Amino acid sequence: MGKKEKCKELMSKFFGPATANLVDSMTEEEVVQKCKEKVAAFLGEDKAKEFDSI
Amino acid sequence: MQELNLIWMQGQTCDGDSMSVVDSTDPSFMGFLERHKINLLYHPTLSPIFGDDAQKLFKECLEGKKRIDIFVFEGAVPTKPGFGDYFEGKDVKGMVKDFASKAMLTIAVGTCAAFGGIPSAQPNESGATGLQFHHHEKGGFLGADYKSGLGFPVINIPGCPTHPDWVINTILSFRLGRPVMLDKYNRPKDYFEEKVHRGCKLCEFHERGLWANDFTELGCLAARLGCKGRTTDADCNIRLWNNVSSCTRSGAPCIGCCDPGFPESMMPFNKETLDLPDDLLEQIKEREKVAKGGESQ
Repeated sequence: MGKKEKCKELMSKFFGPATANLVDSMTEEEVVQKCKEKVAAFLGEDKAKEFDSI
Repeated sequence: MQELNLIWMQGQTCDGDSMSVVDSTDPSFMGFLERHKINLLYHPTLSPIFGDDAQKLFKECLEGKKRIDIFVFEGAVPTKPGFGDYFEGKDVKGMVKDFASKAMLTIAVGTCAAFGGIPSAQPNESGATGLQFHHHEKGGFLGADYKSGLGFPVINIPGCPTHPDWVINTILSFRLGRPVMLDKYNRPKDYFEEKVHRGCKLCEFHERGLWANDFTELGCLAARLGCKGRTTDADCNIRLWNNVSSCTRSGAPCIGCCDPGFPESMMPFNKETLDLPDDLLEQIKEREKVAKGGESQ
């Protein structure tokens, strides 16, 4: 599973499937960092750490 | 957990949704915000700042000096010139566009903000429309393709007024990381998947075809008094209002205030409603098919 797919899975888990399009619009290089920032802003650093394993 | 900034703005509104949300008791709206570290940057009624201070705040938000995490909008958007030109040289349209473009989440609170509601009823001289829907049609003021910073369309929480739980719980879901599923009108399914009819205390009368002829009679309100509870999506009779009652429980027929076509598609409010609309009959057939072991399409 690629970075995007993994990020999509995590974002859907936290916010719902509507975030899938957002992840699709990001590049492979930026996707993890950008998703992590959004999750950190809304849910805190603890949940954002889940992106560290991607 | 870092603070979230919430900004609440209004268009063509009666303030009813603000009143409803502020009347929340368990938890109170302000208590909820405080507990979950949500900073209410501005609300037309609740904020202590106004005039120059408020304008300075809006400027900081739009310049990116302050984040807009949640943009809540109440009331319809007037699109014709000469209506709503009150916002420091800008009209409501400009304000909505600016804030929505910066927001991580955009939430339309009340039927007017979601679908156009009462201001958009004929003759609609102000060109009123909802944020992302005009009645049943996708588009509205921001357009069908609008997405907020989190990738969501405008989240519609209709109602006239809206139920405080629907607003508070939706924001809470985003704060706690619980996925929010939306229906075809971008309403959170958690609150708009059931019909108002479910949980109504008058259901037993409906099953037996015992119809009330006037407001003082005991019986189902659907036939003679035009209750729209069987076709309107909302959990009013399961959730209840003020933890106590609902329109139908207090003897008033549902007028379908959460429906995208409200109020026009629900008028006249006292028209007989025994015939179910075609789309609902299709849904019922589909559910029966699944219940009998067939596949859903």
